[in-house]
Amino acid sequence: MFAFLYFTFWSILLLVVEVLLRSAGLTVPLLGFFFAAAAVAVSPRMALGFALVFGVAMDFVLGYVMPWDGILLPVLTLPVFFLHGKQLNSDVLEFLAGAMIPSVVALPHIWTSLTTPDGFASLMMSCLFGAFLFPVTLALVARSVSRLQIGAADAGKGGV
Amino acid sequence: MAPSKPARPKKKVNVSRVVLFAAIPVVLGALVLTGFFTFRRTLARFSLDFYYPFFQAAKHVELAAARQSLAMQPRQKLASAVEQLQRQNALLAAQVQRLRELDADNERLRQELRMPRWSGYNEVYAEVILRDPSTWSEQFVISKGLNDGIETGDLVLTFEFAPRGGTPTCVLAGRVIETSARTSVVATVVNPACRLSVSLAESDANGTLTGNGASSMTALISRLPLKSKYGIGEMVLTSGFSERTPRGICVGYLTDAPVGVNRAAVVHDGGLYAEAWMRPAVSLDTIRFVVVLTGK
Repeated sequence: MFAFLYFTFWSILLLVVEVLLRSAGLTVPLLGFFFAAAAVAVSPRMALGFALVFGVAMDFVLGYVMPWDGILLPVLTLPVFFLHGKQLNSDVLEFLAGAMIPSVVALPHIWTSLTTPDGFASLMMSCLFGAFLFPVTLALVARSVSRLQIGAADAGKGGV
Repeated sequence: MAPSKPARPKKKVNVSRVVLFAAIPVVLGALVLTGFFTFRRTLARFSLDFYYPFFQAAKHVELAAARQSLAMQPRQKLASAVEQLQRQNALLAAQVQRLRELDADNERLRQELRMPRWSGYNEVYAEVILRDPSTWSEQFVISKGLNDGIETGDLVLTFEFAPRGGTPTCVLAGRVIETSARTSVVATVVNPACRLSVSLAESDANGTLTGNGASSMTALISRLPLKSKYGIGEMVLTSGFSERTPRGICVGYLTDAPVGVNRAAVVHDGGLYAEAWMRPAVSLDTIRFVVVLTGK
């Protein structure tokens, strides 16, 4: 129950912040970072479900006909199903995962990003930014989860 | 001599059964598609309305900050801005008065000719509340929706200000492609989802305009008559033939073919019609406020 409330609160808040940042011209995939981190630190299954629902919600809020984020955000939570806990403690892997998240989120518009100078520069900046932000998000989520005593038992099976 | 095998009796094909088996997947497919689009529309409206107070609150904060920063400007600058706005206001008031007279004339002539009464349009003022960098020039979300009378297909206008403080020009920004109770999604004139009938100011030819995407920042006008001659820079106006579209609103100007398109600015499409490229009159990157024309 606590895990569900935790996911709901952060998903609604981060969606609002991400959409407002996008409206200001900044693409920072906060929901992507959160779901990828929550999949590792809390529960991959719950992260997958919330990523699907809030990905679709974000697409609809921004007026997209095709819910791309509803497909791509759940993808960010999938690698944790194939990895073991020890592998996720590697700093290099965390940096790499963080750098990958913005490029996965930008996939529907990758052609525009790669063909225009501004788009390519902004994608590179996002990847660099993501490489540093993801380990921080992971640490914050892990710490808040342990403080709130939201464990794998509460979140259902699958906590790493 | 071995006796020949008896011919296998031909299976009778039951046509009605084949039709039934073919119809089942078609009906199922239609049901799934209908269900998906209904679900999508319902969920989209719910999402837009659920988050509306959050985004509106953020906009209120932004506006309050903008007002505060305006109040911190030097008095002389503010005074000259007020003076300029008063001048514009007077000019616009004069224009409105002239249009009222023309409207009355039009009404009287229609009555004399026994033509149906023209219902006209309502103007709804709205603010751009959401945009995504990846589709910045192609679509945005505005702060008014079904509750304010906006419907899918309504025309969205904005104003281009003259550099030296003349009266602003009304230009087309796009069309409403989706509405919820309190918000609407607008496809701009370069969005492929935006289609409307247009006419060219000098050659007086009519064609169909379709957005060509933000990468080229152009739109393609097709089905233009072959006989007319078209020049770069010619003004493109709404023709009034599309639904919910008044006549004579500036949409853009004819331009060269976008980079990467191996065609001339004006080409003949299969010998039947001509096609031409248009650059929009609106500055799509800086739109903040719009006016939506809704049916009365």
